[in-house]
Amino acid sequence: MKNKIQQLLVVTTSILAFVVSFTTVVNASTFSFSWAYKTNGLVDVKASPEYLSSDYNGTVFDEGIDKWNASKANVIISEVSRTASKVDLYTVSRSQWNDNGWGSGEAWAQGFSGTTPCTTTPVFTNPEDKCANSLINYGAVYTNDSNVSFWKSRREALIAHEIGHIIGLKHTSLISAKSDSIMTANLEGGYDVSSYDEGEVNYKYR
Amino acid sequence: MTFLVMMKAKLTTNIDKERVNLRKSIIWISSVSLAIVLGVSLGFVYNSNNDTHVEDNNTLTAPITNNLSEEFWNVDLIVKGKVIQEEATFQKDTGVDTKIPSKMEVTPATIEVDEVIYGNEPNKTITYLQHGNSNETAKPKHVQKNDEVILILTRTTDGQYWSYNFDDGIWYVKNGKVKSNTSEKYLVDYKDKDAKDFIKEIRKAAKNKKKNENYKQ
Ligand SMILES: [Zn+2]
Repeated sequence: MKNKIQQLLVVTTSILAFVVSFTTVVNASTFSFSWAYKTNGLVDVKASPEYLSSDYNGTVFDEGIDKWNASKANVIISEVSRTASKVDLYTVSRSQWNDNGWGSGEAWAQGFSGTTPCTTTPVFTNPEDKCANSLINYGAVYTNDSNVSFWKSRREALIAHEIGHIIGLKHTSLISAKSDSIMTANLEGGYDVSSYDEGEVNYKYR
Repeated sequence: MTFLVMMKAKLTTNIDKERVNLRKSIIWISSVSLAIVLGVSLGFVYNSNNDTHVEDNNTLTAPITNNLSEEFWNVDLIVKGKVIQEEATFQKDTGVDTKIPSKMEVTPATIEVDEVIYGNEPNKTITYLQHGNSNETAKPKHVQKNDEVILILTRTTDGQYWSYNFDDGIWYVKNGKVKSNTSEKYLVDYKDKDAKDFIKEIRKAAKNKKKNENYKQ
């Protein structure tokens, strides 16, 4: 009997230690750069959807930014005109996207620090190369006009996801958070801002 | 006398009991510490073997695909060939009216075509475009002169080519086997496989290329 209890204790302690070390080793899913603008303690993103196609402009954009605004993340994204915007969203034509060699994806996000783009392509050795530990003062989000989802829910999530990159969120790597995080690579997780996503933003901008 | 004997006996059992207790606690402490050490090391090993540690710095969102034909929805040409030379790097405007201008560096390479695996290309050589310059670590890595390659490509408006999707479209042929830095789920299993089999499979997929049903056609 005592032996059984002892074995049980060893197994439970092992599992507990495994879980603890597993979750703490996986580091935060954030870039070292940060969004430059904050107002009243909130990450302040002024975005212009003016150059988005009708697939994304209007309610899709509105619902997309609302995902962050309605969350507990300390972020406020507002729709402004292009003269006042710090993030501009563009729908890029098929020929332009192809001529730029931007691949088969749906969208990508590009931050700028001063006048330097963090990266000039969607895939790079390390986008922080040119923006490590910098403040991002401008962002561009590009959507591919030749690869548009039928589903409004996905297009809304795409807007929220790419703006998430601009404010310094990486793809969610923590397995236990992947299923519902909006920052999971290729939107394979959730389409809404999860409590993990809120935590990532609030920890980064604490 | 009897009393003394009894005292001694009691003392001995007490000492024995203490010894047993001590041994018990040693066993308990060591099992628990062993369990912690075991759990922590397993946790670390699991972590390092898992994709949770892959540095994912991309901001690109790839579409939903169910098979290789859907993965190849934007493929225009697949060739097997040899790298003749790398050309001079130039600056290309992205054509997008961003408030801060974003120019990209492009380094073309001339490829001699041995075999058109899919699509139409009448010329014996093609211009294959690559992101970045050859002085810094570009990603995807640039091809080198004399490399034997299989390139899965998208055509530009002026008849030049990019990889259809970064590393996924760049394959090297070495001793009859194919090598790539792809992590694309429908391609990753072809790494280090026979080049002939790979060509057969990608030709079939490209011939049946189609967009996933969740996307506007
Ligand atoms: Zn992303």
